[in-house]
Amino acid sequence: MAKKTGGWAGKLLRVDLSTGKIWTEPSVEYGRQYIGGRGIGARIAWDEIPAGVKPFDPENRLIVSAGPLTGTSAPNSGRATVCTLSPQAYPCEWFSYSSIGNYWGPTLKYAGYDAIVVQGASDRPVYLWVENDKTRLRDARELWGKGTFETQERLAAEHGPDVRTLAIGQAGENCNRIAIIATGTASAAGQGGFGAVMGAKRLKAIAVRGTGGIPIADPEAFSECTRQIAKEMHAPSGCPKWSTLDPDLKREFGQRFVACSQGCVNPICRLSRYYINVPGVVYPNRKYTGMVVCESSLLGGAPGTYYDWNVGFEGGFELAQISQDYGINHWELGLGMAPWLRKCYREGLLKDFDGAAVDLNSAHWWDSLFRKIVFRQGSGAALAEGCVRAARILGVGEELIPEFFTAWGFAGHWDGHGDKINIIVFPYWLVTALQWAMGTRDPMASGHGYAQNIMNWSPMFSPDGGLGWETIADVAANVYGTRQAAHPTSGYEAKAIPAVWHGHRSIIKDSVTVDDQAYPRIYSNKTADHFARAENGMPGPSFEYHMFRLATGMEISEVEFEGMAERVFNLERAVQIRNWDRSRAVDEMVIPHFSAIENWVNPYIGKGVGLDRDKFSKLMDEYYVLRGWDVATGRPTVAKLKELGLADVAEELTKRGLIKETFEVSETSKV
Amino acid sequence: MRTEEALAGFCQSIARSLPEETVTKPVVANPVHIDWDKAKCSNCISCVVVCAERHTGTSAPSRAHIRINVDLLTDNNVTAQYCRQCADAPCAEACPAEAIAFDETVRAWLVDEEKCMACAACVDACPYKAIVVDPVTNTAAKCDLCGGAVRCVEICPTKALVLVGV
Repeated sequence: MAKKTGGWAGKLLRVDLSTGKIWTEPSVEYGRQYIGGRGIGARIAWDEIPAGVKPFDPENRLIVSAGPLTGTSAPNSGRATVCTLSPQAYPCEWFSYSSIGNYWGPTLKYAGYDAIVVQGASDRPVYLWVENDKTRLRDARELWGKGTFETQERLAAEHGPDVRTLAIGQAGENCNRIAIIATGTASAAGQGGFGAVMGAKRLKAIAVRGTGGIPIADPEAFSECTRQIAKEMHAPSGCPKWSTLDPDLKREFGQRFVACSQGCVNPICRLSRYYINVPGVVYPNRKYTGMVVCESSLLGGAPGTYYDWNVGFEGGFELAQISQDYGINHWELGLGMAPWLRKCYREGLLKDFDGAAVDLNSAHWWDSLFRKIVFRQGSGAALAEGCVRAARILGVGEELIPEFFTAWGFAGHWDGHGDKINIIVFPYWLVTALQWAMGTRDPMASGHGYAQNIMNWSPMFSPDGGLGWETIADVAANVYGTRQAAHPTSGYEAKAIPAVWHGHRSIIKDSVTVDDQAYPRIYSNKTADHFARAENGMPGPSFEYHMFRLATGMEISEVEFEGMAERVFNLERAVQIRNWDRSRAVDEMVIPHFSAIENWVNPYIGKGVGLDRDKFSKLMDEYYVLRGWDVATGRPTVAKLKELGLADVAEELTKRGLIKETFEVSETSKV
Repeated sequence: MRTEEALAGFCQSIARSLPEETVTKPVVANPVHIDWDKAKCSNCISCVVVCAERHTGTSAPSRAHIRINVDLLTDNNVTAQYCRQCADAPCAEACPAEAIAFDETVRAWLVDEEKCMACAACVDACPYKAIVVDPVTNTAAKCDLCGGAVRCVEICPTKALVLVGV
């Protein structure tokens, strides 16, 4: 009897907006090679996005993929990954990715698809309507000009309340480089400016109803596996207790914790809360109902940081909802653009903002900022290009950009620099710096797993005392093979290992798909040695592997599973090399940002430090060696790509003279 | 242990949280059944997915025996459909084939798939829309309390789902 296959839905949905043609292709081979999600995205980019294609060209592919665990009982698996050329990325508009939650990814699977690949461009606004195996492009002229909320409401009215929709707002329609693809009231593929790619294709929305199911290769064992994992993740322990509900907000606006995505088993996640009928401040006649998550809750202000404005709870909630409706990126607005504008203003670099003061304490000011950006009015036309490009266009405050924007056009994110909200101390942000160096955006799928995870569990920042530093190092030794990978006095030692490991875990999370904050499970306050383990002894870091194996029926070892992630990582790198000449010299562009003195002080060191260029350069050598990449160029060798089953990729890169057969000691590294 | 009266009151309060057309008459629940607290529910629908996997071997919410209907976009309207294991089970009463019987061991109403003719009389009779004719097996399907370890209750991260009466 043939071994049962499960996990994957089995089909890719292909859509050509230029011709109106819709077809399907089998997807399981993609899955068996590249897992799903981000992995499928990377393969399609390699095959179908040649060098020279720009984000707004019809040739660009918009790939929205779920993975083999999406929509199953795998805890926190309600996600999808969007991959396409990034209008926000700077200086190169390169291929990147962004994860999106809520219920859309699972619904796509229930409709029978692992991914949707959109190419071409429509000559009039359309939306894609998917109802199981019935798919069609429909006129969206009525929806064009509407926000993401009304778009979703109208499509729900038309097709039913169980329809889940990805939509762009006016920002995406107007090709703003900071436009999001949105679903629900707070979920988005936020980073990357992917809403503008949909806008350029005149694709207003993708609405899906899925009423089928996902086969599971070994349902009984899979079910027991996910039960064990959910139990490990459940309260009262299993994650540090971060917060409780506010009694006043609970009474007035029904504040409650909600799952930001299907399958969330974390009962007290501080990140997602739901409110009902919150009165507007800018528009007092309006009432807002919806969710805010991590970065959107920051729009109200965060005392003690750069983000020290105060528009009150109601104002912050309203701003989160208005910007989500327009479809602009909360992270860029709140953590980059607005504080940068204020600093320019305070330092006299910016005399006024289109004739008015820059006043972050005024919700009205923020609302007018949003409108200027979305409709490209006044200075907003420049800001719609993203803050990094705007500084160049306006000729204002370019010297302040590195303080707020780490690299590649993206604002700081848990990297220990810029603002105090990035609570990472040396040496932990060294790993973050490596992740940024090898990334195409803020590398949070891997950044959350290492630096943020350690800080959340540390005695320094855990609100409930956390684990001792020595305990953290002990636990880390189980994962990285050495205590030095996470010891507070380890300096530059053994930092390439976690950067590589989490790089792979990031691929796995975005490909199977599971939530970025919940995986990988490493630390615990439920086990005697504080290493996360399920009741049946299954180690925390192996959770994804076991779920993948049992859902798909692929009989592979854990090492082979990580090899799949490494294959995807190298394929993404290959796309970077072929299309944008990515090299070590480019990776090193992150160095200036991290050379600044950190915000928080490691208690074992006693004073803030910045990045040491020489030592970091050696760390990069270590990283490339661990990857089997050429140290001088930062590119995979032919041998490495062949070992990973990417012989065709190696051949093309060799033909173009972009990679070498094996390591070579170059002139520069001899010196 | 709740009294019979309190249980009836509870069922009515659940009834109030459901859309009006769903509940035609209050029904007295059996001592052992699942309870759902809307105020605690985080809408993760993990319960729905594990139920489907447990009973059908596929992750198919459309085949689950518990449904959480989430429309979070505009009005925070969340409703649940689940079996109360009614004392005077209307599904069993309506069944012309006597395929639905109370099992004293698991203390739940179970469907005998051999006897079931898929006439859907039970579906029409259930005031809670908690029994369906499964499109794949073509037999009536309902909550069997998982024969003991109730998966939906177990997975629920916020204890919005509990098993009462045990």
